[in-house]
Amino acid sequence: MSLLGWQTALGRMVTSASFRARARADGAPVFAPFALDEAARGWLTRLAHAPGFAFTCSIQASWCELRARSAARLTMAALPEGQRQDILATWLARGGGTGSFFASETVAFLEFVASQLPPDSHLASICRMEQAAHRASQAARDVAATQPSDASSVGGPRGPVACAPRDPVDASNASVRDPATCVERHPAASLVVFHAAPEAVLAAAFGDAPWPAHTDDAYVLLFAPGLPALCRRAQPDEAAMFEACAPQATVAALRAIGSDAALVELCRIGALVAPPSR
Amino acid sequence: MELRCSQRALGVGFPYLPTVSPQLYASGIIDFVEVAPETLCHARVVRGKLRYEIDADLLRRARDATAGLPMVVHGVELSIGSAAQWNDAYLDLLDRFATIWEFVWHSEHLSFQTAPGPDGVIAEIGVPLPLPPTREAIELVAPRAQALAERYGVPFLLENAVHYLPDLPADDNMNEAALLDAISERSGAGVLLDLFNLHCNAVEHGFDPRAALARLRLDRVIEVHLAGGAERDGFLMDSHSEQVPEPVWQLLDHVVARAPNLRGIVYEVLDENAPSLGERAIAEDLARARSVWARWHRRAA
Repeated sequence: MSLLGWQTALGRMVTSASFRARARADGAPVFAPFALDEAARGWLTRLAHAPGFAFTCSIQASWCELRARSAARLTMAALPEGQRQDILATWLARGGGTGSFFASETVAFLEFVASQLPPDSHLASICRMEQAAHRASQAARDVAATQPSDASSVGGPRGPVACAPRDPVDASNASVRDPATCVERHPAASLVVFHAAPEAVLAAAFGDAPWPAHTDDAYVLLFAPGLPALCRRAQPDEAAMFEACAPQATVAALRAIGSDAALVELCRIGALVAPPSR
Repeated sequence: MELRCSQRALGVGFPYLPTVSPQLYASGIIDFVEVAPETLCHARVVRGKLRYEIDADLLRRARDATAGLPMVVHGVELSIGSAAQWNDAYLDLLDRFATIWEFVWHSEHLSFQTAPGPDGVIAEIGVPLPLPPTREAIELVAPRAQALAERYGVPFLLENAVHYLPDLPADDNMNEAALLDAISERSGAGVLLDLFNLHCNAVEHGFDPRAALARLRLDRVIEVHLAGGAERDGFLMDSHSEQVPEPVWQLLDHVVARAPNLRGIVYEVLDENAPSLGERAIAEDLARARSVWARWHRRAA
């Protein structure tokens, strides 16, 4: 018996409900691609009908669901029960939730959840906010881990240095005054649009208030690894400049959109950084 | 190969659990602490590769809470039995962890939890699965176990797995005990005998646990795990959520008298279950394990 083939087939049986169903219905031929001998194929065929195997799959499914829920606690709490179960079931069927470190799946899972929601909905804003907060906090933590122990003396792990390991743009000197300097968004920085006051939307998500009506004015939150609380309201010219950096823009182009002060601030908090090739 | 065995007998240990009060670790009823380095990390994907980063804050809290206690590593992420490849990211983590916090020995589960997915890429299965008692499994794991002991310069132990898969494929009428024995003999690795796993397997697969112990070389056992679990859907789960059941205490009495190289007994509880179990219940079971340990030591002396 090939151990690799046996493990591959058994792993597929545990992780894929459709493969399990085929194994139960069709038996040994399902295992033909796995280079197994007749005895191993027979064992796997019998296993597909064994109560202990069904229990193993139910443990795996419950662990995967728990990991996915833990990866996106806020969004999962905000979703109505039926919609949450549908989204979880689809995600798990695609092989989600298997990683022991559920946080490494957070961004991808929330991307998937966002794709299942109306883009202008309050739930989509909550989902994008959780994703943005996760990205920014990961980046801030990565920087904290690489800082010397006296990092606080230069502003702390979420101070001006927090846009590392990407090249920071020196917000205090000539680089942001040079019109030819190129900047781009930090991969962990983002804007999240709310269609009502974020406090009111979050209160509704926690069940403390009804969902607020959509307002004409959007509320835009800026997430960046160098912000002390990782996020704050974005000023209109900050949001416009950040949006213009897709994928990157020159200082000259950004000056045409907003003030020097806003540009300096976006660089200082690590929302905008130098492109990797710089 | 000769058993690599710690000279130090540690006594009765308990996992480091963030929800348990530091006072319990300082109370004198815990002789050593068992740490899963993964629980002090966060993971991220860098250029498509998984990397575990030690969280300085989590590490500091763990060291503060368990101050002064000897430590052993008990990993869950290595997937030592994966035929395709083990988890290199975990070893990279353990290399860094070993420079920060000295451990007396190091253990892993005899199982696999990754396999090639439909696209051929190694993927996590989401639950650990047992190895079949075959020559190929021995040839896969024994060199890895030997390499781990050499890599860290401390004994390496393999733990018997709990599982619900009936009649695993086997070579030459081999069984799980023969698999553990053969890997241990070829690699010099010790055995971490989880008595609750043995009890669960005996209940689910209908065998006599003492007969299974009679087939295992108990002189290779360096550590014993105790735990308790709940039933779900008619199956006994290794959930580390309950006090140690009486049959497992009886197995402990049986084993300690026959395991001359036993160096430690650990009562396992999962962090999320510790609050509901309660520190009084945990202390009770630790005290009972200590009485068994002390009785064995008096006899040995």
